[in-house]
Amino acid sequence: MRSLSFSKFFAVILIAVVALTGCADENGIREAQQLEQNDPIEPFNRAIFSFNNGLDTVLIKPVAQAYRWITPDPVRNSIRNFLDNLRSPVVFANDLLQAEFTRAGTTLVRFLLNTTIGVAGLIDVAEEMGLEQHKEDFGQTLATWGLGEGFYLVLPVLGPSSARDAVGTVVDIFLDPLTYIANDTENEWMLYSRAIMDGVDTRSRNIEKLDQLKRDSVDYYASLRDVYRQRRAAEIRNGGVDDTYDDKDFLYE
Amino acid sequence: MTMMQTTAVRCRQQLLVFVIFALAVLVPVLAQAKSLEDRSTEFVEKLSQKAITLLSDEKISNEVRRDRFREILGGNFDTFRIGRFVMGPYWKEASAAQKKEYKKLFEQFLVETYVDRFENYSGQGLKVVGARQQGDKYVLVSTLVHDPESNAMVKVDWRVMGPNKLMIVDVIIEGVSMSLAQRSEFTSVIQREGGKVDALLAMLKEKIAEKKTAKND
Repeated sequence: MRSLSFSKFFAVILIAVVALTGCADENGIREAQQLEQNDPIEPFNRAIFSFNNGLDTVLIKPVAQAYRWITPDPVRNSIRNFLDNLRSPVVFANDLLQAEFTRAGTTLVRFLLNTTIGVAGLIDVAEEMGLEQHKEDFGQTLATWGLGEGFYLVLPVLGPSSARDAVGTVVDIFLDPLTYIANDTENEWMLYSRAIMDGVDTRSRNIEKLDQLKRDSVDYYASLRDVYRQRRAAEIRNGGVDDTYDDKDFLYE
Repeated sequence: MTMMQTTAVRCRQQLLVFVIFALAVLVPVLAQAKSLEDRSTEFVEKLSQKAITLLSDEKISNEVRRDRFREILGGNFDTFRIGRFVMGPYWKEASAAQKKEYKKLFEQFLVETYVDRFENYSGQGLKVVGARQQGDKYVLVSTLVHDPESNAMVKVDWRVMGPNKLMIVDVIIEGVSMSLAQRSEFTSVIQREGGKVDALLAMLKEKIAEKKTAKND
């Protein structure tokens, strides 16, 4: 009952924010811009973003820096391999859902090789045999099924996302065998420590890049929003070239 | 006899004129015969070598590095076209005076933003892995560059515009177009300030000043 009223409260705020931003636009350019930036709940997103930023400054970034300073590179790479291997059932499921059977085969063989010869995934032996890693998630699967990204959404702690990708994140939890193993054996700590390790390791690989983006931006929020959206589009194309913008885009006279 | 001689002379003269004419037409055509893709690839390779040699030199002062960078940027990147593009629909809204000031500020902004990336660059070049023509003017040159932080190869694509003088109009890092990202940011700044181009100019000025003081520390 309490959680229900909370979600109602949340929905009212969301609608109010959408309505307010909707009222605010007055000229055509502004409308076109808002379509392009795909961010109808920008004030809400900016609030979450500044919360995330604060959390990052006082906790996440310092932890990631310490982790990078303490851990020698080979160890850090082994941890990354282990985490990626643990995630490959989700990648495999999404490969199948996207009808990418060759890629599904690659993911499966990689998982079998790395889990056994690669000592529980710590060593990426499959990579050395020429089986390259790729990642997939349910957000990307929805995109290949033709679903648009939905509005841009900043999630607390997790950061940039979209309506579609947020749904994908939740579905991926249910596609992950580890969720069931941990719940059935009452070892929920496995899920929490995996999430923390994954977050810290990912952050430790983006310290300079994010610092640089922040330093170089006139508006850090807007920069990160666009970088996230472009990155996702590239991931969905599986590395293909973007042909959606051409000559006419360079012709603002 | 004299008749024949003059005919022969005239013949030779005509042949000479023909040869000169043929050379004048053919030489430029032959020079251009290399495909736009090959020319663009060569252009990107040479540019990266030049940039590394001139900018990673540890002995030069920051002032010299900045001057060299400005020269390379101006000669190889179409900063006017990029600047116009990243303003999006607001370019049309700007007055002549605003455009003039923006052009100056945008160039400074690019210099201050990108010059220090070469300061500690340990000198690994880029590796061209492919080139692909898009339309009749553009070529996308795909390269791999080593990223020391993640110890991985990063895919960097250079959008070169031809067909005459080659100029770079976009750099795409792992699928993220810098021109598009910059446009999204700049238009967002203007939009949030109620469509005022002056707001962007003020923020650019502030950013440039901030970066300059950061370097003097």
